[in-house]
Amino acid sequence: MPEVRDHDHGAPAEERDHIDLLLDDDLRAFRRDVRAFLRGAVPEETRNRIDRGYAATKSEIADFLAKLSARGWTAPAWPVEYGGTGWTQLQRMVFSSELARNAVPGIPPFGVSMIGPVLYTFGTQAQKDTYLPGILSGKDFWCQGFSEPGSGSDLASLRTRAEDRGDHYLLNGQKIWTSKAHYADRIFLLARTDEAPRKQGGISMFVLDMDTPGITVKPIIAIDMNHSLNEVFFEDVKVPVDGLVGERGKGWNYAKFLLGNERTGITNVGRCRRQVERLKRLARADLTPGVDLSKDGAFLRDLARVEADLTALEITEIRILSQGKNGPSAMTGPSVLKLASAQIQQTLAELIVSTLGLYAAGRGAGFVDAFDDIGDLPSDFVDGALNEYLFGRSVSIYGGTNQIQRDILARSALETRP
Amino acid sequence: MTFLEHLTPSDETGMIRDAADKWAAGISDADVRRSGGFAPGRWSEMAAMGWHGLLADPDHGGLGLGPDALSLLCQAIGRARLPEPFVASSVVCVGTLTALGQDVTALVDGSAIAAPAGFGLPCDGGPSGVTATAGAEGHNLSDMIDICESGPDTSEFLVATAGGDGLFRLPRSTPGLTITHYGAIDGRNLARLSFDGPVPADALIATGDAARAAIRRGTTLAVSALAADATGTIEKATELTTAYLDERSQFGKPLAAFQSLRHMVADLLVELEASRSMAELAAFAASDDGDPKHLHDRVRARICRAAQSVGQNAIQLHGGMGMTDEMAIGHYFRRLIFLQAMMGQEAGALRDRATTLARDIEMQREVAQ
Ligand SMILES: Cc1cc2nc3c(=O)[nH]c(=O)nc-3n(C[C@H](O)[C@H](O)[C@H](O)COP(=O)(O)OP(=O)(O)OC[C@H]3O[C@@H](n4cnc5c(N)ncnc54)[C@H](O)[C@@H]3O)c2cc1C
Repeated sequence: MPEVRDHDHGAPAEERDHIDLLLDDDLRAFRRDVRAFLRGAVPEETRNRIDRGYAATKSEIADFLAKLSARGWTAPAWPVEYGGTGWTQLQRMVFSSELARNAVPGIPPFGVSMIGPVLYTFGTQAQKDTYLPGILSGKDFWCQGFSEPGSGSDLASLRTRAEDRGDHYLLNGQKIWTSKAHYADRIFLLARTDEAPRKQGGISMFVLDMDTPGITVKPIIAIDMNHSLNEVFFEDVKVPVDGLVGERGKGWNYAKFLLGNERTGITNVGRCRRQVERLKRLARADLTPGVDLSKDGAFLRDLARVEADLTALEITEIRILSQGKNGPSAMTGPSVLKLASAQIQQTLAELIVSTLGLYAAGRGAGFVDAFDDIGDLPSDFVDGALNEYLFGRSVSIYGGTNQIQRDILARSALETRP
Repeated sequence: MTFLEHLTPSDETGMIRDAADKWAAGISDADVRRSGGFAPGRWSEMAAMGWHGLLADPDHGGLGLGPDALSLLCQAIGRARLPEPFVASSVVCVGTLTALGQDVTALVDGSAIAAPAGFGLPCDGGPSGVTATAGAEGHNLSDMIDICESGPDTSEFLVATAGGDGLFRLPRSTPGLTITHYGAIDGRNLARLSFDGPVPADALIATGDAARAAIRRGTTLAVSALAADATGTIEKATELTTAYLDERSQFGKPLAAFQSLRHMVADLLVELEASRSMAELAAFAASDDGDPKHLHDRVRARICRAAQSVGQNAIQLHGGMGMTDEMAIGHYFRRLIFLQAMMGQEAGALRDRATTLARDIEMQREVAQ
């Protein structure tokens, strides 16, 4: 196997992730292929910035998706007939681990992992023909209009209405926390079409172009001072009838199908592996005078502990994805993954910030400009780490909060209902 | 004064607390956002109440009060999350200069603002790497100071050299002093300093043991002030969170009705009480001229842990709203990150304490042999 080099700092990388347990010669060759492709597809400067904790820009994502799609690799998990790669489960794991390891822009989940599978599973032929190609080519950016101001954890209480007007539905209401809505071309959303005895009933799913008249997008600035979240308002928006996904009133079922995919999709174990490496890198940057972290028992124990946690998570993910007989059930698996991974991602970001010592006090463009380097690290290494720490507090909130995941797990084991 | 006496504020101290609470309660979140890193009006109001001179001698226009009054004032400042460099200028610099009998009149009346640089933890980071070499035209200072709590309004710098061997008092206009400003994670002003060329001979105000003792006084007061500030910040973050849980409903009931969230609130309260206790202890331990490091390392460790846990859980309990810049809670969270960095974070404080414990164990071993 050729030596793996840490693209950021030229040091040999010791990243031995769970994938190494699985590799045979064919997979090794496959991995070399993927790695070479990814490094050629994304400029090193972009990869370094992403590795340091900054979000990729829309144009960086678009460039990358164009290259991925030319290679036919945008949606490996899709059935081949819809444009998937036909890879084995193991190849897909190798692929996604390489995405994170090489810090290429993340493939936006909204099209590929969320609405795409809903459409090829439940959509009409016309919907498949209209929407799937734009997702595969990376041309269409999607956003997810589920949450509302009054309906977060209690999503089923949503109040956005779509009234049947014969040749169209008339949409009125508001969504919130809609990631990337400010640059999305299309949205998939949940709206109430009918009154039903259970609040989950009467909800339908729609797909819609973002430039439809009556849609207004307002930015929400987050605690990291960046803009990725939005409010989306609908005022008498005419949704063509063929924007209804699947059957009217079945939106909740499709949403559950989709959220299950979301929760598995956000384990981010590849990024966690990189974070372990970054923590080691940071430990030898000597940011705190007089302290050698490579000899600091407390630091090393923290690092060893989170690494052990991460290893357990990686193996759990393999057990789930390989659909082995003794894996967690389809009901509990996503919640187990999401809880463990939120904990690990947040612990890693926290350890990194703690290791920044005093430099954790500064932040922003002025801070980056005031320093050429901090120790032997570029100053945006520090700023990016704070960025990731701040925004990373949301990992335990989106896609179902930690509390909601715990409720799901407890429900699976207990007969008694609260 | 015994600790029990310390726990009951004197009339004078009680008056500071009441005045500070009343004043801070009148400052809205919008006021704080509008002011950026520094509001000259607020600085003058604090001067008018004598707070910049809380620790200074009456002959320099000060109130001559001690760390317990200071602690109550800093708790109010934390609750209002004021970005002004009160601890840096009016606690660390005034405390250090007062210990040296230096003139602090301008700092006390609010017309001047000072910034400590190179003091080390817990007020501006690691130990100073600055060295001073005497030359014909004064001292040449080498090296840079990466983090100094100062903004465009700072009028002078108190620069400690390596090992606390020397203390320089440098006006902002000192030739060869370059100041690069940048922002802190919680919106206050920070700067990076570099020195080039000799500074005037009379800028050196103390050397050797005298300098070290004065710097230690400044950092001792800083622990107490920062612990109090963090406690006030934690208290407000807890209040904002409990109010949000009572107000926001999901699944047809207030979030406050969910037992798992109630238990998280209980944990916030436990952390808050630990912080209050440590703020009291820090102030008491700073009340005389001794070196309370053996207590202050524990204060720093425990307060940093409380700051971390309350900050993170307060965001979690706010759900998506906690992630917005619009809600105040995120600003309290970031202030807690800043305060932890200033105190060396839990890891740094524990490391300091562990070093002392290791020495104790070693000494006991020697005695036993
Ligand atoms: C960064 C980010 C990106 C997002 N992107 C999108 C997106 O693209 N599209 C979209 O539709 N949504 C998105 N969301 C919204 C996300 O799904 C919601 O924030 C989440 O479901 C929580 O809802 P909420 O914010 O209303 O919090 P709330 O539901 O109000 O929760 C507040 C607190 O109460 C707790 N809580 C609530 N109910 C219970 C209960 N029954 N028992 C115990 N505890 C409870 C929660 O765990 C949380 O701690 C995003 C959110 C974030 C933070």
